[in-house]
Amino acid sequence: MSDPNNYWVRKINSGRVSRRQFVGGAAIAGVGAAGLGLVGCGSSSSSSTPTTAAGASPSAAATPSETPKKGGTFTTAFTGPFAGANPWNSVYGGSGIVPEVYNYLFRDYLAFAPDRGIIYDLAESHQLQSDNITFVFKIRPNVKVAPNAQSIPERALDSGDALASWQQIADAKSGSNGYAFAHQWIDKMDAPDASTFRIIMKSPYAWTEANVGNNLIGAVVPKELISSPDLKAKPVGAGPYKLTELKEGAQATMVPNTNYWKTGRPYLDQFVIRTYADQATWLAAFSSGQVDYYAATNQDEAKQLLQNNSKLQYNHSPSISFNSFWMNTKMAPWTDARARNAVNLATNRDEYIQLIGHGAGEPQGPVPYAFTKYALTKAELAQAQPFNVSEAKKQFSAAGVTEFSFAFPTSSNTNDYVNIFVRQMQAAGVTAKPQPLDAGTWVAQYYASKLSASLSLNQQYQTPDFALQWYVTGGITGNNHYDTGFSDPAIDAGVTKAAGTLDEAARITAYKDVQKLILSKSPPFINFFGLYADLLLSQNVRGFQFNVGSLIYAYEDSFWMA
Amino acid sequence: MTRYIVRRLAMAAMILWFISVAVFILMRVGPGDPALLQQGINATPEKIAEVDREMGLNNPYPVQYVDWLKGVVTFNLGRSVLTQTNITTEFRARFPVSFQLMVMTLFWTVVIGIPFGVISAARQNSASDYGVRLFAIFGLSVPSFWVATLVILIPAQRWGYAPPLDKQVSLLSDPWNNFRQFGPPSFVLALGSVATVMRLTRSSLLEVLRADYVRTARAKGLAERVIVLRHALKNSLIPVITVLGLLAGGLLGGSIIIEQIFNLRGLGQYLYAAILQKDYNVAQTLVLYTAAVVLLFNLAVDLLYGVFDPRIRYA
Repeated sequence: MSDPNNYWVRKINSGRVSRRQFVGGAAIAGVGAAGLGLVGCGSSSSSSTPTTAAGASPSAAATPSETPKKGGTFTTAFTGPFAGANPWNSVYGGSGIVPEVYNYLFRDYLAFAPDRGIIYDLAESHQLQSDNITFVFKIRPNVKVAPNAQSIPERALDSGDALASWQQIADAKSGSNGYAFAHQWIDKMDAPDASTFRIIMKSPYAWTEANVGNNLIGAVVPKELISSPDLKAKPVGAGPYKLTELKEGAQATMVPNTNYWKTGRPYLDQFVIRTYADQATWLAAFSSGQVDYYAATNQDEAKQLLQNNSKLQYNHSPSISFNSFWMNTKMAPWTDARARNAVNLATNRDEYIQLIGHGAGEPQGPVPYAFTKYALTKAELAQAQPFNVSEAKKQFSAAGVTEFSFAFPTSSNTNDYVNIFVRQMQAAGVTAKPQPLDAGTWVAQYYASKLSASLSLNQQYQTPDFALQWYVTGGITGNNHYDTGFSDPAIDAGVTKAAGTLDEAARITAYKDVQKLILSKSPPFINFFGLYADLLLSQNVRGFQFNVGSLIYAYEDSFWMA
Repeated sequence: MTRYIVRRLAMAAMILWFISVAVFILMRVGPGDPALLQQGINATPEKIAEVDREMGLNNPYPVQYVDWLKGVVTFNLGRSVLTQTNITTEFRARFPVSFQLMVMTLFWTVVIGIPFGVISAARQNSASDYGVRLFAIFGLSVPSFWVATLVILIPAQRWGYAPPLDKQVSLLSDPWNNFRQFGPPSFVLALGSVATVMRLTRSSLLEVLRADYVRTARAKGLAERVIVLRHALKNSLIPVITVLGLLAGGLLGGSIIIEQIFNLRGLGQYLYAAILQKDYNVAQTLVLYTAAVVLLFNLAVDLLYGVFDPRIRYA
């Protein structure tokens, strides 16, 4: 009865089943499905892993006197593929492995949870020099690579590793998530000695730290691994965990790095990430105690789960996720600003919030509301981005638009938006024709800007600057992929100015001003509403930080299992 | 008989070749770039070109086709475009899952479908006959994916119970948890085929029970049970064998939806992901494999006819 993998053992140990029930249940369980009574958006990994942002979230339950316990297995899950664990361009499930196995100069939460700020990792300190463009990172000694079978020496990482990693990030061929940041803002990098790493910017940039500390961007990899064919499938780093198994379509298993620089951490014996093809399967696994973490599709589902088990830990907080509508300004009718503006005028964001968010959500302008002070307030949005169906009708009519087509990826939660969008456009006198596309086709055409218009998948950006790249010349990647074709020098200048303003108060003003400017120019990329994340943990988890402000979750080394 | 088998195998080879060409072309004609999907949304043209080169995707189509076919014939199936894992290794790991699912589904189908079909035919127009037929209609009309979702969600929500949804549990090392893992999905999958086999057994048996030799057997005073089970049933199973054979062939290719919902890492799940992600190598190979399996099972079923019905001889 001590096997923790046994379903009945887990239930008894968790106090949910008495021993009498166990004896009776064993007989019933033998009948299997035949004896039992007879419901996501599953396949979009990003939509199944909403992340939290903005300061208000507490960590999971831990009484002040509770001492962290060593041992136990924490099992989390998501829907979608891992697709390997490349440290710099993973966007699928592999991006959940990367922050556990590798180090970062630091983990940064400045944009979302300023109270948490910067948590140093490979760097033990950093400084912005008086020129406002030179960042100097002091490398922590004895951050050692985990024992491994890839013959990577178990040595301490140094500035050479940081330099080599960041050079990869800045290399166009690597296709890294941080390429746009590095290409646009970094002038050069060097490692004057083994404990010093420097990044010199082209000009002052307010979001350097946010990008350096972004778990999708800034992983530091032992230089011996960088050119290895094992980089994607067999990551080796000096982070809190080492990967022992990566089974595509099944799970990733990690165990503590015995060389980890924080003595006594991590607390867990094992950290498992599972993947499920279906949201219902994940829900069943969580409800039966097979996984410890679940991202509910909305707060009603979360409340239902809490009704079934009041001991679950629940976090409801703003998310940086949102969906959008993208218009290609090189194709009719979007060449006409009136058509673009009419879509925005006809969009009733409250209806999306009620129907999709189940009442939880915030209307959103160009900067996600989760960035709080940088986002436009509701009152500002009501002025800059009003909902006005009759005006929308007039503008559609003036532009000569009676119908238009738009694409959407079928394997994502944008299905929910389609019906509402079509209906709202209909109310403005226009027939919007949805064109469902499978994910692969959709991405390819979206990437090449071949679509006329599209509902756009969950967007999750860790800085306001990145969110505004949709509105600048060259588009979000800086090299014309996913480009709407939109270009306005005043907007370009405004976005650059806001990003380069180091004084916080002035920066906030600059961001507000440029958003209002964007909205006045009939933008080709409009956001619907900002979601909330409804995250649940099993009662056995302690010290868990819900609010990590990262693209996909980045768990920390500070939680444990009761 | 040998000539018949050789002829059928030759035809099967031709059909497979045709299918290989069709799936190859269809995968490439459809829009979407597997290299882009592999690299993610930030992929640069340089990176995509590099991946295309590594995977041979920049070669002319005939060269790609021949390379792929060579790999299939030599069982060197290459690597998945998306995950870079070895397809042969992955196939070997997933085949037992789909195989076990097939075997258990057939098991339910046979042990439930045939006996209840017999009961229904032997007690024609009785309450049990109507009950069985009602169940058959339910099994045929209700989508299995809906039943599967309920089977997995209701126990989880109500009683906190779910079958093991993590690693595949081996039958040899842990038979009980293996049954917990494969029992529900195989039963759900069997619902439709149970219904089909029930109805087929019933109609076929009713026809046989009207035959002259059965009337003779009754006239000789044989018990009805003996007549049905010893004399009539064997002859009524020939069409049922056809259905079971086709079912087995289809199941061995993997059941996409059931494997997704119950998180079984079988061939169906593998194929579904490959199609969505434009994973050419995996999708082409699995489609070809499924076609080959169906063709072989068809042949086996046809040959079995000769065993069950001595009147059938193949030239």
